[in-house]
This record gives sequence, C-alpha cells and structure tokens, in this order.
Amino acid sequence: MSFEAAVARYFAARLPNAHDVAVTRLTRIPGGASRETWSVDLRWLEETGKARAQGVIIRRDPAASLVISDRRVEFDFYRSFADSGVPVPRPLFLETDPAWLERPFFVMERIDGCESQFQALLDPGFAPHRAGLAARMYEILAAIATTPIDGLPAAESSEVPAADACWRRELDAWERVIDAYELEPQPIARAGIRWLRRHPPPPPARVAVVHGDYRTGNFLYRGERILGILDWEMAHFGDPLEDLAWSLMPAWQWARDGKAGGLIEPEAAIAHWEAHTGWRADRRALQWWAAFSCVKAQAIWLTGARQFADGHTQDTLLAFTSYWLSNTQDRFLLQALGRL
Amino acid sequence: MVPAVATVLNGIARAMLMDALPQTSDAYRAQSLQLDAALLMCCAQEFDRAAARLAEENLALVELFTAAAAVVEDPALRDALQARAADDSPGLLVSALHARNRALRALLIDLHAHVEQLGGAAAQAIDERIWAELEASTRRRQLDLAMPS
Repeated sequence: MSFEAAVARYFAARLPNAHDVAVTRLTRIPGGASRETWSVDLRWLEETGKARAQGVIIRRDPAASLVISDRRVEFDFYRSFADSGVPVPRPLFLETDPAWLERPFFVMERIDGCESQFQALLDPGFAPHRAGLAARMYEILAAIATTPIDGLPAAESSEVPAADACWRRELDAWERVIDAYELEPQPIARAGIRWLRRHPPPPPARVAVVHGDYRTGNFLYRGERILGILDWEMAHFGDPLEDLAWSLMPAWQWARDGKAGGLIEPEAAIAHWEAHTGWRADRRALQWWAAFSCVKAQAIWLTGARQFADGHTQDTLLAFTSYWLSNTQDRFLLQALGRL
Repeated sequence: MVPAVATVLNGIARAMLMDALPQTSDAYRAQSLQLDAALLMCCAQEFDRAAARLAEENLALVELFTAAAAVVEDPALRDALQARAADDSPGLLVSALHARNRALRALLIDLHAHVEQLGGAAAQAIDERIWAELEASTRRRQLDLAMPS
C-alpha cells in the first residue's frame, strides 16, 4: 500500500461518520527535523452528504533523528496550549500503533497562509516587520514561562523537577547524550560541562514550561503575527531562563549581525521578556544557560552525526550538521565561556 | 592527470545548485539538494586539508603534553602523557592520523580536568595553553561555504 493510501485509510478510520475519505495532496515539508513532517489535504463526505475538507500535519517518528524524543511528550505540550494565549496548531490524534503508517505519529491541524522559514525574515522586504515580530515572539515566550503548570496535560507525561534541580537535570541529560553519541572526543564540550558544574546558576523563582527549542524557524508567522509555536519535542518543565538563553544563542543569529534570531538585539529581547513576565532575568544565570545552550546544541549535532555514521539514515541534514555546525558550536561555547 | 577531488566535488555541487535546484518545485527536495551540495563542498575542503590539519594538531598536542608532564601531579596521567607523546608517526593515511588525533584529544580532556584542579603559576600557564590549543583546533576545522566558482 502506498503511503498516501495508508494515510487515507487511517483518516477513514479516525474521522467520525466520514465517508469517501480521500487524500488530495500529500507532501513532505522541510523543518521540524526531529520527526518527519507531512502536509496532507483531506476531503470527505459527512453522513448528510456535505463535502468537507481540511489540511492536517502528520508528525511521524523518523528512522533516525537529531533529537531522540518522546512523541507523547510533544503531543501533550501541544494539548497544554491549545485554545490558550500561546498560539499552537490544534492537536488531533496521537497514534502509537505502527500498523497504520509503519511508525507512530501524531496529527494536528494545519495552519495555512503563513511562513516558517527563518530565511524569509532576512529578506530586506521583511525589515519593517522585524521589530514587531520580535516583540510578539518574546511576549509569547513570556506567556509560556508564566503559564501555571498545575493541571496542564503535559504534567501527565513530564516530570516537574524541584527548582534547585532544574539545571542539573538538564545538564546531566545532555551530557548523557554526548556520552552516548559522540564519534570522537569533545574537549571543548567537556571543558564547558566542567565549567557549568563548577558555576551552577541560582534556582528559578518558579518552575515553568520550557519549550526547549524556542527560536525563529520554529514558529509560523505572517508579517508581525505569530500563528503557531511549533516543534515542542524538547519541551519540559524547568528554569524559564533556559528558553530565553536558547533563543538568543549565536547559532540562531542568522545574519551574523548579533541580532537574536535575525530579529532583535539580545538586550532588547531580554527587556521584552522581562516586561511581559514581570521578572528580572538574572544575568549570571542567563550566562550559565547561554553556555549550557551551546552544550545542548552540540549534543544534538553529535546525535545527528552518529545516526548518519552508523547508517541509520541517509538524510544529509544529519551529516551536514556535524560538518558545519559542530565546530561552529564549539566556537560559540568558547565565546560563552569568555575564551574567544 | 585527473581533475582534483575538490574540483570534482565542487563541480557536482555547482551542478546541483545551478541546474537541478531550479527544476525542483518540491520544498523538501529543494532543501535536500541544497544540503547535499553544501555537504559536498565541505567534503571537498576537508579532503584537501585533512592530513595537514591532523598532522599539525597532533604535533601541537604532543608538544603540549611534553610541557604539561612537568606540571602534572598524577603519576598515571604523567606516564600516559609521556607515552602518548613518544608514539611514532602513524603514517600519512588520514584514517591513521585521525585515530591518533582521537587518542590525543581524549587524553587532552583528562589533562585539562586535572590541571583545573591544580594551583600555581605553572599549572595556570598550562591551562591557558590548553585553552589556546582548543581555540586553534576550531580554527583548523572551519569551513567556507561560499559557492564554488
């Protein structure tokens, strides 16, 4: 059975009272590298005979990936913010049975008429929208950070750490990833990890939702509007400064002009975040999370390199990240440690 | 004489970007083509410089270990540094140079962690020298992704 036929068969089974379910368009889309992302145009007839159509996104577990993550966790964070002030695509189905599409996946509504690629932000024609989009980006990040975590669906699948355990939990986890996936010794990452352990940050005032990959390229936008925050596969509960530091990382300063995400000066971004959270971003803690972000990113690039080297995938994205980003990330870590 | 490896790989990359990419309407395929071409350009540069880069770095690490042996207080680590520095040349195969580089950089991690625990000006000087070598190692590995001519 073709993939398209398998997709149609799945929705025919899942959509209530639907007849003549057809996939009219199926395309794989770039981005969201932790899972295969498929855009699907669906058409069906209701019991009354009324024709219906809807666009959906399928996020299918990959054969190999940059990030080894739990689809249930990602799905539950989408559920946590559905119909909230944090815009996300509406999650529809979580399917763990590999019988349908060979591997588990989840489905969410597609948001049409918008852009996600960061390259479009760098176009000179987009310049008038950058400040407004950046303001909205950090307003939403503040909304994520200040969302009360009690009762969130995400708490069903993700542990809530004690405030003073946040940094160690994340650092331990990503060090284990480096231990497991490095193809060769990483003296800069190891020096960074030792520095991080010698200089722990103060605990956050409160434990918050951390998106885990909050940056330009991971949200849908149209002009200055943000229509959907995507790629929650690394979301967890922790120190909200982790997200702020990650969003400011030089790796995402696409134009190499010092602007976070190609949009805004880091201090201006911090000011937006502080204004909307009502919290002060402790600069020493932020420096710690900046260095941590470099270690975490390196762990991700090393995972991709290992997956490619071991033959789990032919996706050249994973090989390219190791050739290009791994060394660049080492330089960013040296910079964060004041060694460059 | 055959065309140099870098010439061949860059030529393929250029054909992918200039000929195949404009014919591709599928966004996923277009991104894959761009990444494939960029990876070929990386491989072209690495092929040409790999032996020189690794030999230079291996020599720098041996010199560093020789200097550090006088400062190290752990006898086992000192012996390891001296033994590793005394290894004969592994030859000119990139795979052999790479294997030696991996062994040297693994020992560099142990040395750095040890030196960080020591006090005194001599240990501090070795620590600074290690950081300088780490920075130099990233410069040796930098790649240029400008479109091949």
